[in-house]
Amino acid sequence: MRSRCRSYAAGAALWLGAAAAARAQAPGSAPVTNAFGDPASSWAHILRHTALTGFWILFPLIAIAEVLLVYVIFKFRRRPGRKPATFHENPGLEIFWTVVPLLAVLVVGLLSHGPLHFYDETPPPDLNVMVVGHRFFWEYRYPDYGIDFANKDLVVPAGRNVDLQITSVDVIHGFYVPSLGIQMDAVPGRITHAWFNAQAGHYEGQCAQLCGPLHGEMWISVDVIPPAQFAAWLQANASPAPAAAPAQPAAPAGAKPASPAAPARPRPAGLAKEGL
Amino acid sequence: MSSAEVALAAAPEAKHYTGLLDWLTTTDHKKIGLMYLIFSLVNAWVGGLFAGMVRLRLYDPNWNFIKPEFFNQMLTMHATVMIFMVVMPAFVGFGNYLVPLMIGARDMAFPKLNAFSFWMLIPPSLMMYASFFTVGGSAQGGWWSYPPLSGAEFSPGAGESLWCLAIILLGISSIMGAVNFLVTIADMRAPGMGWMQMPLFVWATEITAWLLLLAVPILSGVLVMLLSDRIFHTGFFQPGLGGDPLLYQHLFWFFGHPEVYIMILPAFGIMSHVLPAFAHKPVFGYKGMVYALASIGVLGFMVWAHHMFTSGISPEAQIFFSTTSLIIAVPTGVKVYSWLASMWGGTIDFSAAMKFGLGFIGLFVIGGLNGVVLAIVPFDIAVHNTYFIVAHLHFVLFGGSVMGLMAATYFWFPKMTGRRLSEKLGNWHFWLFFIGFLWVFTPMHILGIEGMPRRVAFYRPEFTDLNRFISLGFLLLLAGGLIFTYNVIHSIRHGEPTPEPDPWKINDVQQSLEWMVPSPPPAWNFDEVPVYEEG
Amino acid sequence: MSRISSHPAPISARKHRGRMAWLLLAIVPVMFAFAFANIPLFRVWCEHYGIAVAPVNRAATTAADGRTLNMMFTGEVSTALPIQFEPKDSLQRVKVGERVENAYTFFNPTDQPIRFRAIHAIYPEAAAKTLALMQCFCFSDQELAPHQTKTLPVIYEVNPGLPGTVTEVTLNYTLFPK
Repeated sequence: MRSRCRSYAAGAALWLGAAAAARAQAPGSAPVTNAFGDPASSWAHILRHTALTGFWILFPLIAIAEVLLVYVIFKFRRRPGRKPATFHENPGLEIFWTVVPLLAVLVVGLLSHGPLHFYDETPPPDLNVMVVGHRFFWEYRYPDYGIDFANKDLVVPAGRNVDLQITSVDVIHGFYVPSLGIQMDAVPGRITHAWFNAQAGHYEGQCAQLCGPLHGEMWISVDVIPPAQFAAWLQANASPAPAAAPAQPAAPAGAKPASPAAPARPRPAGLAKEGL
Repeated sequence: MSSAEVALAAAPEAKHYTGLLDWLTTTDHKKIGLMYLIFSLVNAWVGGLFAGMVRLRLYDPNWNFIKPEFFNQMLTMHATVMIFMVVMPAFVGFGNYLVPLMIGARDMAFPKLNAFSFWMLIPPSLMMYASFFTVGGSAQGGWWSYPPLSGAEFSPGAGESLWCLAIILLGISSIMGAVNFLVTIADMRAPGMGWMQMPLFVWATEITAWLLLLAVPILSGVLVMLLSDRIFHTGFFQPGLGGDPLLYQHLFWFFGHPEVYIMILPAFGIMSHVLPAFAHKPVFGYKGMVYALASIGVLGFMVWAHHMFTSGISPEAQIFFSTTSLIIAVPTGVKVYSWLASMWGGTIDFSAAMKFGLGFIGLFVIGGLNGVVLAIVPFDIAVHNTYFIVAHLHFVLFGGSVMGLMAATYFWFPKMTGRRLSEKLGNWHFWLFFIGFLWVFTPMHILGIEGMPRRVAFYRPEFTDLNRFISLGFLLLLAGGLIFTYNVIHSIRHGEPTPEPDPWKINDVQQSLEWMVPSPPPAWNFDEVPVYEEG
Repeated sequence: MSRISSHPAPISARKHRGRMAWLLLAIVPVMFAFAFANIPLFRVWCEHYGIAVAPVNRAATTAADGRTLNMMFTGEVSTALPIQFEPKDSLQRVKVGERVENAYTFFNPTDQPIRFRAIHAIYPEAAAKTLALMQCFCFSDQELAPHQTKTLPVIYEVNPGLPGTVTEVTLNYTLFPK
């Protein structure tokens, strides 16, 4: 209990030092990657595929217009002796260029239903992370492990479902990591949500909703590491065991304290057992 | 006696002013229209220089003479000025000048209200400029002004409150103008001119006026709520007081999306005049064009939350707004294809006005492509609030609206002043704008796809080269703007005189009523009230 | 040459235009009021979808369906508030239909009294409508004297309407100054 007190007090101190800390934090050392060039999560791949499919269906409708424009410019220049045509309607043509684009956009719309379903049907999480936006830094919490820090990389296991519950303590921020395909506003007084299952790597992002003068300095770095390494990281970072309190059983190091009414939380599948 | 002489005889002895006092007291729609256009041009320079500040900082974010706070003011006020004090007044200016002429009327339905609508622009504009001199500077939360950032706690200065108040006052001007247009068009068309005989620019103004009438009061309402939160500490949008920031977003964009159609529909109308004129053909598919304008207007009220796909709206809402946003591309496409058909088989003269018209099609269509793909929710999640959006909005607002305004200027300048703008300078202006525009805004698609957010005063080092390239392109746009401004100022006095009614020689295909009166038209527009006949 | 600054139309035409103008202007207060009407409308919509639900003192039911789930308790403090607070239990395993009690402890480290309001948020949205709060410090404003510590209870119950896919629910409080 006291450790939790300490971690929340640490949070308050963090806030007080926030501005200086934010200025000091430079963008990560790795180049930023994005969902189109380097999709790094299951969702990012689907996003990329859906976007490109939609684009290539719609592109011809636009390309035809541009090609015809160039053609018109060259073919129908004023030339001596040529008289302009006089036609000004053609119902068949007008129906054609109403119906065909309508069908095309409806197909594109239908194509995104499946992907949106995938995105919105959150699979059972292997790891819960709370992302809290502050002016001007990001705080990350792992409520199951008593971990709470800010201004550092978000560390998560590769190939596992990571569930982000996102909120803010002041204004609206935007949690945006292009390569993972996620972008979700952090709204004060609400929990918004994103999830991903990513391959190992280092992914950079930036706050995507104007939040004040240092909006451009709210860098995001996500470290996706193999599960074994992640388990070790958890052990190294989880808060120490609480002091024995009445009616609370002593807890092993690194475990989260459990109330007598609550049996220990089922361990998320796939994570190492030691000390978690 | 001609009807003009009848009118002269019946009119009360009008006060006779000259010079500046004439302009200050006029209720003549033509003079008021010109004042709107001058107001717009002056503010275009202000808004453009603000953009220059943004690009200057983004050339090198380490140059700290443009501080991040000031940067945020610049980006907020660039958008605010361009939207509310440049594009909207410019289209109202052309509407004011042309609509009565095009429908065969002597003036707008309410000439005094018309003058009031113009002069209503001045106090809020002064407020906007004055806000820079308050503690903390002007509004700096983006032109959408989302709370809680725009609330009292995080925007404590007077600048944001002045912004809210100024927008409300500017809205009053818009509403008065809209009512004036709607009554004028409904009731003052020449005998024989039914709804489906009106020129397409008049139709565009009609639909735009409806959008203004329905949407601007919503903006006024939501800004009253925001001001109340700021000044009286009410809880409309403050979570701590039981309010919801997302309510603001819904209400704002319920206005905000029709707003962008308010800024493009008049340009569509202009295109339907300019393109056929210089191809020497009648416009293609008049009925389809009217239906397209009307359906864009209606659908425009059903797409707003596509600005909020990543704000935390429900999946059902995402699918609904994605569908409506995809569908609204269809009537827009109908118009583009109709414009192409309007030129097909014609004999095209590449005047400066026509160049801008063709440039409009070329650029706006790209804006349509990058817009319609944004309606695909997964794609929007990847690029929302990035430079991809900045690219899209400028392709439609600059490549669309501004190019349309330029085409209108070159086309109707002879009518308004009795002189031509220099075609040679117009040529330079066009190419500097066209190439400069592509230079600046095409690379922004890449920046957005690569993940650079908008409104940031800092970016990752790998974005440096593209940002610098873009910033340099601004100089081309600046040069084009200088040439245009010089052309306008110089040609008013020294342009080639064109007193005849039809300087472009288009009455064999156009027969729009403004080309049947001298250039410039007399104060009473028509000697005889025209009777419109088919054919 | 004299200029005409007004072109009077017949009186009937002017009256007609005037009437039309007033009719059109009447749309303005309607749309303005519609903006304000959206305040309750939006609340109703959000309640229906379980988004950002206002805290309501809901009656407990005695129904149960044998399911258990994890309830996570978290908390944030607005930038402007120097309060420290934490839940007594950050995780509770509860049965559907079971009335459970938890509490949060609040501490004011400053020399000034602080008034604040706790705004709750429930994730996932599907669970929000089935979480009945019987007693919650989020129902009303709270006050802490200088250097005071207070423990305030939260009594809640998860109703059987909980969708089958939900195994874990987060109840989050954000403290805002009053």
